[in-house]
Amino acid sequence: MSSIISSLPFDPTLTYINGEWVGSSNSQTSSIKNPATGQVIATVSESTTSDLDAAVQAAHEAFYSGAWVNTYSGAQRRDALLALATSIEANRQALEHLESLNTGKPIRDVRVELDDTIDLFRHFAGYADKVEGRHIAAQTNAGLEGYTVKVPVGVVGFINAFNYPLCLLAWKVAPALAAGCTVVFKPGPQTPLTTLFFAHLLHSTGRFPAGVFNVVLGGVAVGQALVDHDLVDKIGFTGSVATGKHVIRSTASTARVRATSVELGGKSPGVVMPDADLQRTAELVISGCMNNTGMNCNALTRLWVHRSIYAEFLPLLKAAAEKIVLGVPQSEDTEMGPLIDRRQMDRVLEYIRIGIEEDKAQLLTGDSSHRVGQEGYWVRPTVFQNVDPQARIATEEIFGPVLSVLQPFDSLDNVIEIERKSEFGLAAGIFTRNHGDIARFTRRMRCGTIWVNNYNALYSYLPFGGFRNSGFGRELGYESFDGYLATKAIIDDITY
Amino acid sequence: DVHIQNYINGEWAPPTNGLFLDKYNPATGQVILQIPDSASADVDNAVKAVKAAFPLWSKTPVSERAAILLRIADLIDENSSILGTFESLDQGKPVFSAIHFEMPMCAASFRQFAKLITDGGIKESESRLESMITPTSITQPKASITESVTQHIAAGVAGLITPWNFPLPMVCFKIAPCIAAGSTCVVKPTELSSITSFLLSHILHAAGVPKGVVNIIFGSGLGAGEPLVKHKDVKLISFTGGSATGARIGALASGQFKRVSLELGGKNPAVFFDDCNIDHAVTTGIRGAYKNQGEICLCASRQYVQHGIYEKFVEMFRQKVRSDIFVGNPLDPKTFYGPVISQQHMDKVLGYIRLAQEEGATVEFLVNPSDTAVKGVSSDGRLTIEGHEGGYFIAPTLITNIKQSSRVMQEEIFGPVVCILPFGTEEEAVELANDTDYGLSASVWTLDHGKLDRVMRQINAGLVWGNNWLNIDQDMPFGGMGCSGNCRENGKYSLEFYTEVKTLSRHVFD
Repeated sequence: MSSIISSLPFDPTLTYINGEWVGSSNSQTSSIKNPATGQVIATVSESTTSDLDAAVQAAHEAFYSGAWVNTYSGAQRRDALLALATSIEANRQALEHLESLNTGKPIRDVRVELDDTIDLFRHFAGYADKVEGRHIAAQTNAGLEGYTVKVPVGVVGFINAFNYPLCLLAWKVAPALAAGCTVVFKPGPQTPLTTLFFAHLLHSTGRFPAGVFNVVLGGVAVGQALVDHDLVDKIGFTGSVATGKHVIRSTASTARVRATSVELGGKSPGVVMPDADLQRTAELVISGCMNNTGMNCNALTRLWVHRSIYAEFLPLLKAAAEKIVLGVPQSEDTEMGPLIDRRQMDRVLEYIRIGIEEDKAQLLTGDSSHRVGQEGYWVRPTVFQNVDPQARIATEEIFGPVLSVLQPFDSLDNVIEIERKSEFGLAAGIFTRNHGDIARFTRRMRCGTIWVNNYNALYSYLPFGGFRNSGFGRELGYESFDGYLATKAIIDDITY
Repeated sequence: DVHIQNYINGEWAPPTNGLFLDKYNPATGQVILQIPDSASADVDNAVKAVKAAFPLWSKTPVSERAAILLRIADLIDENSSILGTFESLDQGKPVFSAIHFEMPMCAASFRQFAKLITDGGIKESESRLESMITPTSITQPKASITESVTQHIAAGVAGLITPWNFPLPMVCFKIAPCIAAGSTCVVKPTELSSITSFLLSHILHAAGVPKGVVNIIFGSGLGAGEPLVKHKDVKLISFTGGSATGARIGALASGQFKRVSLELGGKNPAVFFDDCNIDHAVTTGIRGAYKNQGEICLCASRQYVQHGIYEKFVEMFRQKVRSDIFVGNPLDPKTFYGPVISQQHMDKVLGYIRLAQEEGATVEFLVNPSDTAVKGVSSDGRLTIEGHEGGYFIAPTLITNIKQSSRVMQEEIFGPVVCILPFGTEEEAVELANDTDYGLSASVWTLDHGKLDRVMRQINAGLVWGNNWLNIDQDMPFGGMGCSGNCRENGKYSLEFYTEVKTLSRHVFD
């Protein structure tokens, strides 16, 4: 496994700032672990606040010099991103192995993530040369012409989460670069490796001027310096509600304000109606919850099951959960890997304890130890049944493989009323054939994504994001691209 | 002895040849007035006026054009009773429907396009792009930034030819987008129902539409319509009517590079699955069959019902028609539908009924036993209505046990005649629905979400309804596939037809 690190085509002890590979300015380093074994696999640099400042200055200079926006037309940005997509594709195996090693994700899952990453760069490349304004002849004065011009928002700072290091990088970086922004990117501190590989591939295309894309590494200190920096125009953040609130406050706490777009997590509900295909639904629900070991902001983590099918449905859920194959990430048979680190594992185990001891909820599956093995951070898929909808395990985001099946329900309209006002509003799913029920659910729920008879399907062209404490702003789709643009209006008297 | 007159260049005048056509009241078969039998000379005068009016109208600021459209809408609303009553007299449709649904649609059309040109949709210009042009030849030695603007400007002079089934709405749906876009038009309404178009000319005049911007000439397709279509100065032709005439118009306009928009007929299927809401389905199936005497291009004239509910559906259909549907005097508020438009059209519809009888199909006339106005039913379905013995009334006709390949199932009848057949599987339903040369609309009835979506997507029609019929959003595109036409109308789609796209591409800097 260390051969994966030793055969990397770049030096992982350095990071990429202003078109160059540099170490941390005070030689700080941090250790990166493989969550499947708990062993250290690599040492990376840790950026100081002056490294961060250098990165932002580089991005700022690259933006205002016009290196990326003026000299490079939309068509050339498009071609640069297409070349990058091709390069990612050519190196996908190495990226897959590296991502799996760093995150513990099963190899079959990272293959899908590479498909998505490549698709995202190709998709957003297509927007780069289609930035249109509108030209409107003013209505009362025939000589006054008005038009709008859309321009990139400027320097964008990204703070990424650990759960989909490369894929979420693509979500953020592809539209931002396509729009003509320049970027300073901070990966999750546990998962920097594929970000560095990406930087290497970007640099190797030779089509991205120095400063257009920069990587800084580290945790809270570097992140804070980034959200506080007055030369950053916009911050894009994915992470917890608590940190997200802090980020938002920080963007208004210095000399200049910064725009924000935040994606903060959820407690997404599923609803199973009496006419659902129970076997198929059980499988969809379990994968909707347990995918990526539950470390998925849109995971289906609280489930409403109609009273009339409750007794019949629960054994199917149990069987589907118990069928999941836990194993080493490199095995093709493995369906679920470990949690990202000890801290996350301890948090999940604590929530299971809270569920049993405080919420007094009954286990449908999962044994008393829950942790699997002593090396690595595996927790067995856990399903609670008959859970009180107000219980802590049913309302707080756990970010692990834990599903709460709530007490049986009778009325879909009551469920909708509860869920549409809940604290979170990221996603929801409904399982039924009835057209009227689907229509009411999809129209009345107030969350960013609604899945009907499926779960977790996401596309580069459909927007994703939250309501309420799940955040604001959209990623994916045209809406995300538009988020990296600002509008100017120009009014011109042509009779003058 | 009433004569209506042509409206050209802001003035009313008889046709230059002094000839007129008789117009019959379809409810009585009596002549009620005369309309101009216009010919080439009148068309020439009208086109000359409309061409002269174009430069000023196309440059009139959109806010002024919108204000005129809103005044037209207000005048239609103020006069809806008169307009609706004359529409009913002229066309045979029930007066209640004409006054309370169809006249408001006319006003709404003018309001919709007034709003579209000021608030959204197409304004005079549209998109603006800055792009870098890289050197490609000796004429462009340096890379440079170019700014491109696309403009949507008025396209020019249009000829509008309208049908008799919704006389005033059809005229309004075409005039409104045309003049909203800054284009000008000569309208040739159908000779079979011209009264409300004539009244509209007075409304347009009172609303301040400048002279020549809209001209209305009355006459026959051959006498006035053809010269209009062939006129070298008429750049756009918009026609709604039968497929045969549409084909002729397309042929006449060829070789002159005119833009031709054809909204033609339909033989629209309705598909009812076992798991539909059967009460809602039967009620709507009846409306779809007989509304407006079956004279709607969107009528559900062939209905397919799944085996499991077929017998029940047909029996409910029969009973409900017999108890709820009254045929007779259009001015009677009880009347569901009135006479068909003319003797000639009635003969055509009765001909299809006889054909079905000859083919051995089951043909039933579902006359309401408590409809005391019905004095007799002929063997081919013609009704004799008390006090209206000369009128062109046809009984609500239900045909079952007919072959899919019958001309009665394949050709547009445009009368109160519906065919109902059973079907088995979902695949069969789609095949039967698509087995037609037309493709205007369709409706699908099931409460199963996946099936509803799948079947709606597989039917080849421009407008597909799910669990409803005739719900039309005036901003959504409307038009057909196959023999049903070649265009889309409504909202910005209509505006686009009357506008020209022009690109201005300007060097900005090196």
